[in-house]
Amino acid sequence: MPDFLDTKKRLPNLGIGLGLRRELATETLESESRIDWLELVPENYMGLGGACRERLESARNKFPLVTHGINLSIGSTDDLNSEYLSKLKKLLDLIDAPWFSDHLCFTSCDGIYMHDLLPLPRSKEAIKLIAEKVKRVQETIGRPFLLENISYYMNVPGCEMNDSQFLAEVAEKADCGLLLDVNNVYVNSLNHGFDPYQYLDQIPLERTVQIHVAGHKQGSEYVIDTHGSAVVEPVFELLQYVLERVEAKGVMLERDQNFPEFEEILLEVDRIRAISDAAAQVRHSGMPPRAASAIKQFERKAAPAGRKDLAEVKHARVLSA
Amino acid sequence: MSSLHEIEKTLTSIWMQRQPVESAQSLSCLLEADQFDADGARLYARLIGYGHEDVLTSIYPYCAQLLGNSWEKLVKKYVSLFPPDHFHLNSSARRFPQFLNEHCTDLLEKRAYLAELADYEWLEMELLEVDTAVSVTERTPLSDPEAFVSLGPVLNPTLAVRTYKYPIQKIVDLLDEGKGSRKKFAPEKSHVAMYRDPFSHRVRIVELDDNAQVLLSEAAVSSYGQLAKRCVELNPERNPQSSVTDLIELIEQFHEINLFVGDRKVGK
Repeated sequence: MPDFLDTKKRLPNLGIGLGLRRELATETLESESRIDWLELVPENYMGLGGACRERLESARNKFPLVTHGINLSIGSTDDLNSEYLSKLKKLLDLIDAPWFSDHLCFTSCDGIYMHDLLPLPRSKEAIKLIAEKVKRVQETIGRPFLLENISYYMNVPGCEMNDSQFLAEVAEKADCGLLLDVNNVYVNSLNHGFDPYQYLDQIPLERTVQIHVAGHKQGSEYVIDTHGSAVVEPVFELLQYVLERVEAKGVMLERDQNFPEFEEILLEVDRIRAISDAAAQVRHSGMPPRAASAIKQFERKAAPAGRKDLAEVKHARVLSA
Repeated sequence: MSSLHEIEKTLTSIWMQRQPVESAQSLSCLLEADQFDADGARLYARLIGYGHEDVLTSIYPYCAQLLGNSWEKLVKKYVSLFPPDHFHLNSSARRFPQFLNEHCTDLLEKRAYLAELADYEWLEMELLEVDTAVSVTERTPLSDPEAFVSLGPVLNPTLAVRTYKYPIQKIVDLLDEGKGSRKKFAPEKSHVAMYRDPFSHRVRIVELDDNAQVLLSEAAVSSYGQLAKRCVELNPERNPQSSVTDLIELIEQFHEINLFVGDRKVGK
């Protein structure tokens, strides 16, 4: 049995969480009765003082916290950034995070940071590089590390395999955990025309420690992972499909923009909790898990994506005040 | 077959709009032109470009307001010359004042204050985030003569004072009122003190006159009494008692607005 699966057994079950966002911080921090834990973007707190620091202190006094990074750049051929790792470790030690995560992508090359989650050539060379870097990251940080499947809008040159094979091989070779974003699976399945359930069947679901649930937007050319809309039913169905098969230690809602009334967000958290509870009953009862739902395929149109669609795609907020 | 580094480097160059999408065909792994998803590459280039423009506009709203339609083009030029070199997103905007000084002489001919305005805007951003703890301690009333001599102010540790050749605060105030975007400003030395409030965590900005700037620059190493003496020296034509009264009022104000955050004992 791989080491990470032993590690997973020892991880706490955090329950149902929400991403900590500056715009929703006040309501979020007052909702301990309906939110079990919070995920934060470490780059928004690493080495920063003022309002960021105060928000972090408030959050850690009330909730278990984990981090979800955007600039580890694990797939970059650049060496790991020692300043980044040192600041991340300091933050993780402060909040005593049970695990931490980042994306299976690259965000920098030759020292240039593009500040976006960029798809990798899905090659053996990339897998080898990432596996080595993940091991070094886990050694340096000393906490379990998870990689998230990203949403992507192009197949970059040099791909030797499909996305599920790539994710599976990286996770196995690196011996790390998965942060499974079911919305990303859904969005990618629409943009690239594959069966999301088949995708889930092809990855080592047992390595899933955390799950992301989010909304997206259908643009003119692509379905865009905006985290700015309500979660759609097929994404909830994918969540249920996963949770009936494996236990995740934390499931959370990502909502980063186009914020509705906070109660709407809490209702989505409630819905995730209900699905999680029902799925746990299925797992424990020995009943067969549900079969895959039929997914409507998205037809990619020829018109280019408009600026309005694209402008909603943001992965990190700018000002910290 | 191209190496991983070669592919990442080429994609980075395309996505950062340093070379056209067609140049991806140079990758040896692309034997046929239709293998490369040019639309996807353009989409990423646009996404990344919008990201840069967003961050620059968030940090430099006054510069963006002044430059109007030419802002987007300027951001592109900045990013091409000073590509983001740090994992912290906001940091990608830190060299914008330097860029204006070194690469935008044409713009500075029309608006010579632009680089100073950018410095002002970046400073505000920097102070919002700086990882410096600010604590406010109890203070002794200055009515106690012994305290006046033996104590001096503790400055807010986030305090930064800038002297500009142009009236930057005045320009900002006009822009806030929706005026000033077409106005020409003559050189006029100005001093600005910026610091982060320990309670609201907002950046506070104080305009200083020449004397206040001198007094503030000496405050960290002076007692209140020494500052009073200096204040009298700086105002030789004024009644010394009035100067000291004004100084005490200034000190009280600085404490009230948390520019001073306590008292410290001064060695004799």
